[in-house]
Amino acid sequence: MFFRGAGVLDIDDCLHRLMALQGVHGASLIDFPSGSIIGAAGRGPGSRDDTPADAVGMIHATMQTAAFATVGQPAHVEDIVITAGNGYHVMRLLSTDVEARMVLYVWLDRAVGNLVMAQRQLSVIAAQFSAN
Amino acid sequence: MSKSSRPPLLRESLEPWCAAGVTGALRILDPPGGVVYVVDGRIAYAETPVASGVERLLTASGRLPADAWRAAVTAGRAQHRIGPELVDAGLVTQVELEALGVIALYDAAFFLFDLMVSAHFEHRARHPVGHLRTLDLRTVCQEVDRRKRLLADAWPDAAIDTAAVLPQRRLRSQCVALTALQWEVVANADRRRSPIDLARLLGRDTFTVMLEVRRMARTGLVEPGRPGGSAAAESVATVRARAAAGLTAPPAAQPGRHAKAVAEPIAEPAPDPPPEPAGEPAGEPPPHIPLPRRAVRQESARRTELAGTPETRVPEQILTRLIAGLGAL
Repeated sequence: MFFRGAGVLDIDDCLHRLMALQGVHGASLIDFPSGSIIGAAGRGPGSRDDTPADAVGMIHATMQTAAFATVGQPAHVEDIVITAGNGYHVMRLLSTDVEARMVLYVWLDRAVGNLVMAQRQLSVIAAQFSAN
Repeated sequence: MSKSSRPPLLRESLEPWCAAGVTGALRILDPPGGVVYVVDGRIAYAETPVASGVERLLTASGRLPADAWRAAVTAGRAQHRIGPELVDAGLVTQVELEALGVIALYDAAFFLFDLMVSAHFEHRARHPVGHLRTLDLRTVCQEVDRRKRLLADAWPDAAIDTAAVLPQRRLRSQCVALTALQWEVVANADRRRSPIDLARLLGRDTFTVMLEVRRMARTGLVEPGRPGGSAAAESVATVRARAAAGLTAPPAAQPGRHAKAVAEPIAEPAPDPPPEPAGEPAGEPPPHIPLPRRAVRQESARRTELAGTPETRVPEQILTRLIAGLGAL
């Protein structure tokens, strides 16, 4: 019923890998045009307890603005980091093909979290989304 | 199941099957038609002709050549493993496929979950794509409600979803910022296509296109034109008109066909041994699934009735039905 061959990552595997990072509160995969949460782990959007309730709304607002920023190469934004009182919010845009514009979202603790490590791990996982 | 005067919504019909943890498919017999697949009591997939399924999301979007999809169907249909065939061939990744499955599931659920339709449960039925990621019934219900709220907040009149999208020919403002999807909508709007048609054409999920069109309507970039003439748009318009008529009509006037038919999935004897869900709803209080929106909507519908405003609503419904009828001819 479930096919999970060796080496094939599914969404839960991706989220678990992100959750293994130091100081991660939560990680999720979000379909950004609709704001739907496709998968979530830990705290954050999609889980019931202690939700930064409008993280999806925040992503949406950021993306709307970022998409039109014309610094350097326009129309290509790799990730967005928001430094907030409650931690770092990292949104990694997935450059899959046209069909779904998805975002990997990680909420990092400001004191314990390592922003650069999170960004690197997000890049590795984002590569899982594009066809081999 | 509560013994209310109205037949249950589809999401309520799903409750006993999910609570019993069965595997199978709830097939919707009335228009617009569709199927909700349940695996071990969790929602695995849903499809309806008016929403974009995985196939359309993959092929119409240009992500996958139609030939590649057909080849995977030929190879994997019988064993319910079209999806694995695609992944094994390296055409799509597992994560991508799972994500598209969820997007397609939510898209279909949005159209199906609040319908009062007759449905038939088939034990052990599975979707040929193969089951990817299963979701809690409550999660899906919450997402459907969230989507309805988003749409209503963006633009309150649902008629825009089935009306032709007319981009403004002239703008008063100096510049306009569009998201990529909004651009696709405007670039492909030929003044006849409705949001539902555009979603099919672009291979995008129907809800998102409807939402973007409503948002653009709000900012004055597009306006609703005549009702769309395509089969999908008409199907949605007809179903919605009927639902509106069903909610505003007094309970006694409910068509008997519905009441009889919707009872089917419960009363039907299960052909297979799996747990008999018939006893459950009566035995214990099953609705651990809150359905707050439904009550509110029903109340508001009743309120409009009491307020004596139906003059403004009814002609619109009749009109929609007339147009749909003419289209069918």
